[in-house]
Formats: sequence, structure tokens, C-alpha cells
Amino acid sequence: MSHAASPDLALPSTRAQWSAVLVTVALMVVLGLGLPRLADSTAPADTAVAAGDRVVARGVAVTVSEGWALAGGTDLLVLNKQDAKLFVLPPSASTQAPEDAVEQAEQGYTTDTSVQATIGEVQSFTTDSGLEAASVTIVQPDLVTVLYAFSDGTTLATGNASATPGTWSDLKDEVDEMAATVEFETGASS
Amino acid sequence: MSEPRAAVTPAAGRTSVTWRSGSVAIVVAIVAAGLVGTIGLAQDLRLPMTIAGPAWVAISLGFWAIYGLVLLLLVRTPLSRAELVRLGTVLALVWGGLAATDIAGRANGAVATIAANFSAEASGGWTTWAVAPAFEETIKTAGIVLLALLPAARRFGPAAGLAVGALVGVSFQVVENWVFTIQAMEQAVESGGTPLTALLSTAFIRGVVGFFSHIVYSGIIGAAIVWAVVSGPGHRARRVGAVALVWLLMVALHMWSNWTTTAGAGLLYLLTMAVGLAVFVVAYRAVARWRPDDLGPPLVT
Repeated sequence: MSHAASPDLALPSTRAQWSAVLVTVALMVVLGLGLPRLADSTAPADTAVAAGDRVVARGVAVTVSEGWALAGGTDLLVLNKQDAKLFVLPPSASTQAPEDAVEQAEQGYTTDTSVQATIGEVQSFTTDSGLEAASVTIVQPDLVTVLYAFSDGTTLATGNASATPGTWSDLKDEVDEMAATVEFETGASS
Repeated sequence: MSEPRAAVTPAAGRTSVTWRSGSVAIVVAIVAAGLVGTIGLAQDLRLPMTIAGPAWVAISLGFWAIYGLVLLLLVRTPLSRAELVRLGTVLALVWGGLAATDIAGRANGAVATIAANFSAEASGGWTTWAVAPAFEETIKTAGIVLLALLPAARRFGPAAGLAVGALVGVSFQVVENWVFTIQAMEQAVESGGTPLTALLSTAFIRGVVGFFSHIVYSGIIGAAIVWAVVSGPGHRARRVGAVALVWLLMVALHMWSNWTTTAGAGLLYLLTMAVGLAVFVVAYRAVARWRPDDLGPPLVT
């Protein structure tokens, strides 16, 4: 095969190199920073809720503690504060005891020992509105999770609170207070 | 692809590295993007890795690393002929595995978030196969172009382009698969399953069905880019057009692969593997026409 000289085969010019670097950096900025920022700006924002206000979503009501916000972009009851989150799923017909429900939910953490989860005892309590409830706290190196279940005997709702350990120590009492105010609502939603 | 004219270096024999500002800028850009990507991946995976557990994180990492070595066996001949210097190899792996995965992941996530405002099904649905391939191929290709413009990392010839592209693609494929595995393990644990099940299912869908994926897309794009450079003077528009066409075809192939794995059906899986294999074989044979003698000596080492 004959070899033909070609100007294209010279070492790449510094100009070409710098042009490629600048185009690539621009791509990185647009794709890696610009688009995520655009997405953040279009994402539904959390709605601040005044302390003591009662929020209702998909059949569940909670009286909100100070500084918590109702998450946007979902019609479920999801409350955020710092990196902590509390959500309660819509109630469904079930006669399962709340203690059994949280024990069932914790199975995901007990089947695999490598998860490094420390699972507490199931705690039973009664909410202010008279619902039977249970919770279990699961501590992992970087996450504290509390699994909840609420029941009025014929209807059951499960929920979950989670936060990093540092945040959890600050917000545990507020989460406990809100969990104690859970009520089942029929129809209304706000 | 017609057989291009052979490459010729301006000066026979090996020359010393000339670290011009452009070359330094390329290395700095790739290393910086790799560092940023590493931090981003570590932040994103911190919680999933905690939930999956360190043992499963290590097992899955080892699994995909071995998988990556198996993938590289496919292109061992172009790799050996490309005579990439160590720096070029490392930069290709850094770009594909750490920079491109992070940047593409952020862009993909952003589009899914934006789309979810309009349609709940869009998030993680059609954006996965309709949008993600374009972002991923764009950012991987940007790195391949950078590497092709780094004298210390290249030797003219489509085989070298295939090798550089394949290295970028393999590292992207390995890291992306590992990230998906960790996330699948997190979901499995939270829903009462086991990390092993998540590893096996991810290994099948992404490892087996998607075997001929990023290594093929990026390898072929890399070969096309270098082909455009070595195919002689003139016809610049035609050469650029050919690269653009190859890029579009690889994006389309990527879309097809993502769609079939999202749709999830046995026959489509087989078809996806067959199409990937066929494209790889055709491209590999085209590139294999070049022998080391055709390439000329490395420009710099």
C-alpha cells in the first residue's frame, strides 16, 4: 500500500486542541450543570406548612410540626425538613395488626446481614385520634429509618420516616409528634 | 466504508513528547472531569452502597471489573496494534468510566425530571431509550475526539480509533452497569429481596443482553473519527458527514438496545444481541483491513 503525504496527518494544532477542549467543557457545563439546574427550576417546589396546620392527602391527615414542608410533585402525604422525610401511604382495607405490618416491612433489612442494620424492638402506640399504631427503628451507618403502620381495625396505612443520623437526633421528637397525630380521612384531600 | 489511504507520519521514527499548551489542556480537562465525576458518583452512591452493604458493593465491583476485562478481549488485537501509551489508556478509561458516566447520568436524570412534570410515565420510561443514548454518545465522543487530538495517546489508523473508543466504551459500560447494580441492590433490600437477585438480574439484562453495547458504539465512532483524519486530504465535508452518519447510526443502535431492554421480551433480547454482534463483526472486519505496516510509526511515545 502506498503512502501519500497528507497535511491532515500532521500533529494536531494547538488551536484544534484548545477548540476541542473548549467545546468539551461547554458540553460538560450544559449537560452536567445546566440541564440539572433547569430540571430543578421546573420541579414542583415543596409547600411550606405553618406549625400546627393539618394537612390531608390521599385519605391521611397529619398535624405538621414547625419547619416541615409538603413535598411537591406528588399527591401522597410526604413531608420534608432538611434531609429528613416522613411519608404515609394511603390507607387500604386490611385487618392486619400494625405490629405485624411493621415486622413484615422490616424483613427487607433482616434477610441480608451485610446491610449492617440495627433493628429495634417494635413499639406500639395509639395516635391522638385513636388509631392503633406501631413503629420500628432501623439504624444504619448513614441512615435512620422508622417504619410505621396505623390501623383502625379495618383499614391499614403504612409509612416511613428517614434521615441521616445527625438530622435524626434533631428531628426525632418532631417526627414522633407528627406520627401521633395521624388520622384517616375519607374523601377530603388538600 | 471504503478502504482509506494509509496513514503517514510527518517524520519517520519516534519523536519526543512535546507538551504544548493544547495537550496539557486536554489532559487537565480529562483528569478534572474524572475527579468531578468520581466525587459525583461517590455522593450519588453513598446511600445505595450503605444499604447494599460493603460486601455486595465489593462483589459487584469485582464482577463488573472481570466483565470489563472479558470485553477488552474482543478488541485485544486493535489494542495491541494501536500501541497506546499508558497515559492514553488511563485517560480513555478515566473519561469513559468516571467523567462521561457522571455527566451523562446528570443530563439523563435532568431530562427525566423535566419530562416527569408532563407525564408520570416519562420519568425512567421513554426518556431512557429516546434521550439518554444521544447524551451518552455525545459526551463519550467528545472524549474520544480529545484523545485523538492528544499526540501522546494516539497512533494514526482506524484500529487506534477503535481501540481508544473501545476503552472509553468499556469503562463507561462497566461503571454504568456497576452503578445500576448498586441501585438495584438498594431497591431489592428495601423491598425485601436480596442483593444477589439484583446482581443476577442486572448481570443478565445489562451484562448479557447488553454485551455488545458501549464498546461497540464508542469503538465504531472512534474508528470513524480516525478514519476521517487518515483518509487523505480533501472531501472534508464528506469525511465529517461520514462521521456524523456513523454517530447517528450508533445513537440509533443504542436507542434500539435501550428500548428492547426496557420493553423486556425474550425474542427482542436475542435480536438485540444478534444486531450488536453483527454490527461489531462488520466494523471489526473493516478496521482489521489495516495492518500495522499501514499505520506508520507512532507520532510520539
